[in-house]
Amino acid sequence: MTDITIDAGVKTPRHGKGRLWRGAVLPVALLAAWAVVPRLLPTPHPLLVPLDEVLAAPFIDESGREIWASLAQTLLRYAGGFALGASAGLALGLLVGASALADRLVSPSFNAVRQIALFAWIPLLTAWFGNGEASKIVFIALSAFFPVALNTHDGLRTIAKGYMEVAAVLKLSPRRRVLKLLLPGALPSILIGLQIGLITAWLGTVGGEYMIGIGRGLGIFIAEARGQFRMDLVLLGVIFLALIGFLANLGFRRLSEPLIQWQGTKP
Amino acid sequence: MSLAADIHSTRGLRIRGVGKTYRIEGRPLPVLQNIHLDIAPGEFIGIVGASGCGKSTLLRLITGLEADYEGEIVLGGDPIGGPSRERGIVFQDHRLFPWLTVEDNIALGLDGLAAAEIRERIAENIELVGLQGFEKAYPHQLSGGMAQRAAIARALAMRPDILVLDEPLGALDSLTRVRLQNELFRIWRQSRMTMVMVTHDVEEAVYLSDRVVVMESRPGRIKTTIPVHLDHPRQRTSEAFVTLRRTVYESLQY
Repeated sequence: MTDITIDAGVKTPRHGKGRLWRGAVLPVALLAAWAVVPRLLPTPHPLLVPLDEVLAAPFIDESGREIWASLAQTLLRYAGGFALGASAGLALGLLVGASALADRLVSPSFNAVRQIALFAWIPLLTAWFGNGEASKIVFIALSAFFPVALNTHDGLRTIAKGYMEVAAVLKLSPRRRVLKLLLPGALPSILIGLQIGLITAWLGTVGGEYMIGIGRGLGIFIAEARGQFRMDLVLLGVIFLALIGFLANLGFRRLSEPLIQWQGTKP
Repeated sequence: MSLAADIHSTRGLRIRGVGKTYRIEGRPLPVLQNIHLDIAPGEFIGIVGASGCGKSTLLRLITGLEADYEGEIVLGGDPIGGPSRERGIVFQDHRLFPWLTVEDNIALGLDGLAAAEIRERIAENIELVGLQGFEKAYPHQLSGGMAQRAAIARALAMRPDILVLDEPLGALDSLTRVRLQNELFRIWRQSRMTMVMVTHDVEEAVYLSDRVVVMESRPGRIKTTIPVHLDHPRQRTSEAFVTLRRTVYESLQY
């Protein structure tokens, strides 16, 4: 999962409006079918709840209203875990990228540990930290940690040697070397790491909740709804998952794009 | 020797018996051998030679980007050991930091000065290279020629004693190149700086240099030094210019 690469901030050429509409045809058709088809059945089927009923659930259904509290809990957990993991990843990436000694000391272990499939951590974490909040936060942090550390390190490692020579010739002080060369030079890669970390931490948040399953949260909401055969609530939860993931990614891109305007448009 | 004493007192560059050997897979590979060159303050030296003759290595030794050489390289009275703001360099690729504006790039080598002095130096060098109006531009917004001017301004802003140029115009199209040769001449005249330029372009070397140093390869040595006693501005099509150009070409051939 740390090998995900995404196009960070480089604007793709704008497609015509017509193209956009053509792209929307299929999802809109599916949504329309979802709203209409369940009503055409002779008897209502519990697995096929019409779209509008799913969307109304958080407002009119008693169990459906639970989703708001779950959502708040999940977002808090997501933010906390991501902040923790991203900071740790950033710190480790900077250390390893700036110091050859730290690189030799830490990188082999880091690379070994990151081969562990993310969800394989869960039994270990629950054994260490119990089934409460701590395990979930650490799990989310771990899921953000690896891509951020990896991409930060990469960003520093791949700063062109030519720029390092310029820094030497201009006699940049260590402080200015960090501020004017290393950090800005690694920034595009750091932002990619954060963006991937944001996605993996979201997977970690919901996955961790679903698998650990105690307390409140979207993942738990979905698990419980499934247990009670409330397909409408399961679908509702999934819609929220997608929405939050989408908004987090979009928000991050909006915030980070101005930081790397200097890249210009690349061919 | 009175000439040497002269150079010493006004911070010329003295290169004596300089050699440099790389190790490739444990085997020594001599890239420079027995280089002698005295450069007077304010002089413009052009260095030409086939690729692999070590001319870029010589520039890197002068700037202190490469260490471990034999012989001595002395600027004024000080032997060179590592980079210093006394010696500026312009590379073939401009190497402006893409995340800094033109003026911030120029300011890179100026920390330690008072803010007013920094502003003054930026303005002065922007003007010298003719980039007024592009102070806030980012490198990706500049043409190749403009970026190279900015790189020259960045090197000059430190007020080095000597500026070395490693094929600074090599990546530009021929029209921009001729224009920048004229600019470079003007900058050299105005700044009265010692300049050492490596180039592949014989005409460029003859057009700008007081002396053209011809180097040969394997190992890199100085083959001959050809003085250019032509008045500025030089006419590229004049008989004397063409003859000199041919002389340099011929010494490159054999």
